[in-house]
Amino acid sequence: MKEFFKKNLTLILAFALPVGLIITVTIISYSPPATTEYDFVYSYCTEGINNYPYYCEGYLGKIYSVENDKLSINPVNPKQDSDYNGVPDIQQYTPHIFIHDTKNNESREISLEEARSLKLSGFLTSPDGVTITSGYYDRGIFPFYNGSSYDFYIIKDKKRSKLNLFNQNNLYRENFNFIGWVLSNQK
Amino acid sequence: MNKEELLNELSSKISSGEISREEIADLFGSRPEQSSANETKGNSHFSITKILYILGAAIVLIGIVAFVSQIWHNVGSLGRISVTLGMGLITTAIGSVLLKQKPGEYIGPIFHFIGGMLIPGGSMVTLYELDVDFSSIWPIAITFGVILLFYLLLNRVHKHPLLTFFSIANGTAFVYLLVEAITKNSYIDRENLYAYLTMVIGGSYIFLAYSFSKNWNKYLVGILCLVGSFAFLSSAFSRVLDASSRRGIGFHPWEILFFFFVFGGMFLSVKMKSGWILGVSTLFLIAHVSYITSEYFADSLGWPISLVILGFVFIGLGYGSVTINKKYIKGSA
Repeated sequence: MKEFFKKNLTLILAFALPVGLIITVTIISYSPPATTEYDFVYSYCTEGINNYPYYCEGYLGKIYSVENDKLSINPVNPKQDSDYNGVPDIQQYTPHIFIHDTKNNESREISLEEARSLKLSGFLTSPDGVTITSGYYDRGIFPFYNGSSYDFYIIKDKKRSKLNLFNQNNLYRENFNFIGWVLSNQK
Repeated sequence: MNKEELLNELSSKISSGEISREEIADLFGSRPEQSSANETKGNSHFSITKILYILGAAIVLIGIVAFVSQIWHNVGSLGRISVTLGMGLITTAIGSVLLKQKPGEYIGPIFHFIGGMLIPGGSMVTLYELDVDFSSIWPIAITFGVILLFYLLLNRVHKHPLLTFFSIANGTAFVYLLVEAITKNSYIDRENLYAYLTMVIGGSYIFLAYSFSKNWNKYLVGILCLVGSFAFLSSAFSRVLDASSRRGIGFHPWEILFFFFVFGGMFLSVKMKSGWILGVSTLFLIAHVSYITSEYFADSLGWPISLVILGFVFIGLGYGSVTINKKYIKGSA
């Protein structure tokens, strides 16, 4: 055995280097993902008369905010036209509110009344230090690309977990609005 | 073993580099006295044959790709898999048969070359026709792992440098795809990850080159040294350039470390007697010196004086490289 290692040391090292890196990368990647104790509430646009709800984020951000730990509905100028297409936002976009269960990683739509009954934190970071991030991520590696996807993640320190939000494939920065972390039903 | 089998086996071992003519002649106490004219004539015959084989293989491949693209929409899934993966496997099988029957000739490896170029693409076509979900990279990674195993097994049977080449190529693709599949949802910085991975692959290539230098894979040593040293140093240099954007006062560690890498490469080139490693190391040393000059001295000394100094440094490095090559690499080879 010793003789075998001595004779083939460089060959063994040639394989050991990439294997070692793969093991290291696997340990880092499969270490416990980011988790949080807190659910969060977000709003999402579907089209009104606009098939693609572009510039919806600005509209959603204006309607919903958190005031005194509660969801607040703000009046929007009925003539506001964020995308300058001649159609007021109030006619173009239909907002919906969702609560995301971070433990089960699933969302459900809630009514305005239910949303108003929740105690919310309007900070972008949850009380346990988690934030939500998003971005385009290539699917695949050169030359095996299969488009890109816009994904949302919760992140804490260097860890992250992908979020499985409502209608994930049609969710973008422009039609998603984070409202707040739910304080009243923390696990 | 009869006389013909013995001669065929000997011819195969000579062709694959396991044994040389001189070693056989030494066994009988004499060296082959071939007239240089005959040897030259023999060599040029081989060169023309080799060129024709390679040209033929290239034309076959181009023809296959053109033919497949013409009939692509007119054939179903089975037809597409047949003309890509099927043809790849058939030419590989023919290559294996020819390697066994005509061991000293190039015809077997040529068929293996065609097969090796078709099999990966054919495998991707097969995955596509089977409606595999490409949003996950795992199927592609596993496929290349299977192709790697296939070529490793084939190589174990035939022991041919071309099969080793395809094993290394498919193995490299497998490693990159596996890392991508593992890290897809992780927060590891992609740029750093692939830079370090490429450095590791480059290092592996150098180790393979060292290991192959005395066996039947010695024909791959040159290309492994070239690609390995380039991969390692280019990735390391990318870290130097990346560090420059985050540098505070003074030198960044990567800027110092890179000098060790390039001088290490030059030392390694002497040890391994590789002109390729020496050349690549010299080029990257020139690049690094240029980078350091522009980052630290151009503003203080001014560009004209910096360019003069840089020019003399280039001349010095070039002269040094040629001297090392003559004295330590070619001289002692």
